Amino acid sequence: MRLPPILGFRKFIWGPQMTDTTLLSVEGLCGGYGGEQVLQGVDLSLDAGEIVAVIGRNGVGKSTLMRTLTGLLSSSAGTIRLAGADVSREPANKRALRGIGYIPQGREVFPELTVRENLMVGEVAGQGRTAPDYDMIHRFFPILKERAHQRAGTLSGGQQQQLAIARAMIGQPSMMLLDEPSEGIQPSIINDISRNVRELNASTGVAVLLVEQNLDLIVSMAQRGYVMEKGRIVASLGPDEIISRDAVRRYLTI
Amino acid sequence: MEFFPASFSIFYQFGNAFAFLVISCAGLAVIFGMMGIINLAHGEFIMCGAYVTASTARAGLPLPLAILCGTLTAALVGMVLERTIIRHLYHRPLDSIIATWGISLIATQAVLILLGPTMSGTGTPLGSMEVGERSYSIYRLALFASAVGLLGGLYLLFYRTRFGVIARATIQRPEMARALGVDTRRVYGLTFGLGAGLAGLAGGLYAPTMTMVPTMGATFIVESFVTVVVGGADIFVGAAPAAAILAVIKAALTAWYGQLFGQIGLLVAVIVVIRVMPGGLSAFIKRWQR
Repeated sequence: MRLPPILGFRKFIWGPQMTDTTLLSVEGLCGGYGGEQVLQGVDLSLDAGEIVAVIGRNGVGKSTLMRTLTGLLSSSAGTIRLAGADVSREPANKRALRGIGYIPQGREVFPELTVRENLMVGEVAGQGRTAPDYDMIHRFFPILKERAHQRAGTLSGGQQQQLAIARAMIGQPSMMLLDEPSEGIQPSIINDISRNVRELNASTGVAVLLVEQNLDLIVSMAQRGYVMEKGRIVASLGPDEIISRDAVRRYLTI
Repeated sequence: MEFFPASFSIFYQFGNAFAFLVISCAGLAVIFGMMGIINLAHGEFIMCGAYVTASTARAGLPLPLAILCGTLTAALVGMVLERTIIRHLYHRPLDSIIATWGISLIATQAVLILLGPTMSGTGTPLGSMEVGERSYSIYRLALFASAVGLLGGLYLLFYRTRFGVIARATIQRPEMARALGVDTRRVYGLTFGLGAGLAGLAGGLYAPTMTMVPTMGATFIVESFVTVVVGGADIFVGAAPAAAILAVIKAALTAWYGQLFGQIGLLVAVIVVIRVMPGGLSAFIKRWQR
């Protein structure tokens, strides 16, 4: 992981809750669309290399949280720290350059661009930091090499999901914000996506913040979790609870 | 009349109309297609390019360099206006129409006050050539070649360069582009500059054929808007075939019934097209592809 050289100094200022491995720390985050406040003070943290799930029913603000973390929605209060730096007021494009890879709900591939061109746009986030590693991408997602010159809008849902993940990963982010990857995708492919993300996490060390409602995906991927309700984190699930289908199901159906 | 001179005459008429439509609409089409902004100051960017081209050419610069000067000046003016005015109106399409119209009025009046009602131009270069009994301006043929080159150049820019790919991504999903690290404001600024520069290029290319008056931009406005409307939102799919179809209509009607009917035919064609294909040719062609 790339840590700023003065991290030790920052750690001194912010006290013991910031450890060397904390990648993302969110405190008292409020925000929403227009005048409507959806997030009511969210606190969470993500360590380097971790896979953490945010679970909760529809409409509790999970996607709003993701969009606020990327900077596409501005926060009205609270702080977002990325590798120690306060990015709460930074525009989305600057945050992407700092290593946030966003894979939105609905995938949002550029439909009229080819697969290759979609990945080219993804390269922007890594410019000046890293060189794009197409070998790695093609090893994980061979279909994208095969379909390099096909328009992204003509891919199947599962292939578009792979492209969205690859597009974020080509910029070599330190963390992925993965919003409902299972939405609108066949159950057989959900397992592939789960495996792909876990393998990417293991081989590149990319941390993953996952928003999801699909029980199988949560249980198979996450190492710990947060439960969100009405714009707040109301509980956290440890490593033992997150792999228990019964415990997770209870929170999904409250 | 023999076959070759007759067909050359038809080609010349078509090429002339096609070149005018393509060259005059390119800047408008880029700004509308990429940014959704209806730039009513398009004609004044053309005028800017023409004035700079004519004055630098008279000052002794070779014509191609003078045209380059006109293009770059218009692009620069465009980028300054984007940064100071247009940028604040991206989500207010009606206001942006009013603002660009205001820019247009101010530019026309300012040039009238500062430079007077007319400025001496530069002569049409390259002379003429004889085919059959008629003579044809070689410069008009060069304009046709420029139009084809312009279409090719824009295609290469938007489909074969990194900037082009990022610009197209930005029109399709601006928020997603931003979340991936694209500085979309910079993309919009450069795109507006490109559109203004293309308008300047139109002015520069046609400067040797026209009288320099502050309202000269209006000559281009009807043709450029007609082409953009018929072409639809996707300029690459739409503008070239739109210009080709309209050029056939205009050239044929002008040849048989005269200039006035050529203009009327153009306008009738627009009405028919937007009645039959509300999204313009590009939307129609894209639906066909699926």
